[in-house]
Amino acid sequence: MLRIKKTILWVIPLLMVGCTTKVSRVQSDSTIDLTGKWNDTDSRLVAEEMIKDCLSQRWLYKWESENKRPTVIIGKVVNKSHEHISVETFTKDMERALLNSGKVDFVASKTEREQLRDEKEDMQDNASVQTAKSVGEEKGADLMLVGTLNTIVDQEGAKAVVFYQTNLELIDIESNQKVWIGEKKIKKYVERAKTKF
Amino acid sequence: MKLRYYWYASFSFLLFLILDSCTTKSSLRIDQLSNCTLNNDFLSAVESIKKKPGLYGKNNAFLYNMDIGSLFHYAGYYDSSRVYLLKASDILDDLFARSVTNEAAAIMINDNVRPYRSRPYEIVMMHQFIASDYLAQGDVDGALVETRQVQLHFDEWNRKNNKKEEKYDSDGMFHYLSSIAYDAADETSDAMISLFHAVESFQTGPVPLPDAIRNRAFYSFKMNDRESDNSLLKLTPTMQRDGVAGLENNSSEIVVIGYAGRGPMLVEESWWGTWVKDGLLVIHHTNGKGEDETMSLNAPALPPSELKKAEKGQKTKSGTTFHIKFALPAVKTVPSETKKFTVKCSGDPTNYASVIINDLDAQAQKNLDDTKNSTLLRTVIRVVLRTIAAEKAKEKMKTGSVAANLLLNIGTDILADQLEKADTRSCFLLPKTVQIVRIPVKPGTYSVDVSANSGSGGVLSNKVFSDINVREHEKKFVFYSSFK
Repeated sequence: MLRIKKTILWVIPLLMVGCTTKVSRVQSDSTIDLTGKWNDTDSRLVAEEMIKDCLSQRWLYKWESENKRPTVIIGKVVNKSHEHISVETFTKDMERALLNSGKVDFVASKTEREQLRDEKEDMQDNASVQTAKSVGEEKGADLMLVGTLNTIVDQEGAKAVVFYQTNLELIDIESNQKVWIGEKKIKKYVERAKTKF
Repeated sequence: MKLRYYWYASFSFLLFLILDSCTTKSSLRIDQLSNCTLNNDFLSAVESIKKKPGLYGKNNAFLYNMDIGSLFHYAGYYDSSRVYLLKASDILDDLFARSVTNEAAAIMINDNVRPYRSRPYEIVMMHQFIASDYLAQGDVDGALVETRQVQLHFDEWNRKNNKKEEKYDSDGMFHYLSSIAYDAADETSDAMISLFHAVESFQTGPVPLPDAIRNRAFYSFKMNDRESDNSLLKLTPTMQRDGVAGLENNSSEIVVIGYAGRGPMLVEESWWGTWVKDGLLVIHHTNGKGEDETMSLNAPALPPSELKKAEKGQKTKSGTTFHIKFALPAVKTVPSETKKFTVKCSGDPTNYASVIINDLDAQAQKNLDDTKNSTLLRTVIRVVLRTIAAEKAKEKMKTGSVAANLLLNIGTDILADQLEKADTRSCFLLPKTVQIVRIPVKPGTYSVDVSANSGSGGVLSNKVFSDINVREHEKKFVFYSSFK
């Protein structure tokens, strides 16, 4: 009887440990796949590849030879995949890397601009003349970054092959000329457990 | 000996209470939410659910989120609706792996002890609601993500059905709304492919192909150089081309989607029979409407071997019972006053009438028909195993007293009876029918007046949606619910 009681006393705390939520900090570039869906690793892989490719291609030479920095605006990256994916995670990474490289300037996106214009309009009535920012002095972009994110899924029961293809393009706004096309492909094999206890 | 009976009685009573509460929860949900929805008071229904999450329990997490998400959608709270519906979708993903312990328990007890995994038409409705939430907010790309997800489901169901046409693996409503969304995204080829699948699904599914869709499809295929689709589908129009408005690809329009009446619920249909040895033979049937039918007969007499035992004062089977019960789900439809919707758009004298693109009563019935064999097989296995176990238990407890035998046997039978429950869980807050009105418009600002009508044409409820600003090549989606 005493042995049973002792065992119970050991087992209960162990069960309770199993029931508590555990959180640990991990490196932001570590790969953790839980469901097989698009995650931070995929977003990072796309951003890394795109940044590397974008900064090494010849489209920049034209501007560098003229000692100029092109101004870029982030356009729409259309999600044509089967998952709700926030494309901002890699476009923002790209924006930051290109901006920090000192080779490119960025202007605010459409929604950001609307906010800024509202603010400027408000300034005209409420801010001092010395500090109010003038309307109609915005910098026009030279290039627009647009893209698509596509997926192809082949699945049978618990097994699936998911192919993600991200394409980003820089388009000269004046001439409609495409100056750079970047591409990143990711292929995943996902096998889900059919049973559990 | 006394201790054994004491434990037996206590355990039975406890189990009876637990199982009884499970079924009461399900009916309580229906009782509590029915009135709110019938009065189109969807937010009160959400409040009721949130106040009593225990009405659902851990095994019904999908239903909890699906019900709240659907109610928010009917109420026009599209952000909130999406949050709950996406959670419901994640829960379904997590339920892909089946728990061995749950499945084993379901074989011994009943299917209600398993987490609710939903029925295929409910999964499609869930994705349709999410897509509609996106469309209501003008996010066509978001809606198309849902289209692609449902296509993966259709492919998988088609594979599992071995491409048998009679089973549900496609949905006319979903494909039709997807074709509108693709058209809004200016993806004409995909719009035509979805339209093809829509017509095909209507032709083979439980919802008949509406003439408005037949004509639109016929002339759209013709216009887009896809006349072979008309041949494949054996489509013939019922009116001239001039009579079909808004055929141009990627044109501006206002799309009104109406949810009419409350969808079906599942109820239990049961059969049981008890043979009181040396006494009675009782056969009982309760149908889906709750109507009972009982038949009592004199049971056959005990065999001579048992009579000899009785003469010697030994334990006999006299007073023991043999009990068997089967319970299967059945569809119960909810009568609805709302039969159709009529829509008037500012600047247009036409009174547009809606067409039915989904009938959830028919879908629920088809689902039960599709799954009848597997449900029956599971039930038979369960009932046989349980009856064997009950008979073994009765054998162990057999006494020399007829009265004691009868009492213990009836107790065991009541316990076995309580264990046998049909899985009547379903998304009972789905609409009875989904209807659509498409109004082609020129770019501009409009107001639309949507009325829910009874069969005789009387207006049951009405709402005016104003300041609908439609740009060139844009489609605006308006949703209206009348559960009366």
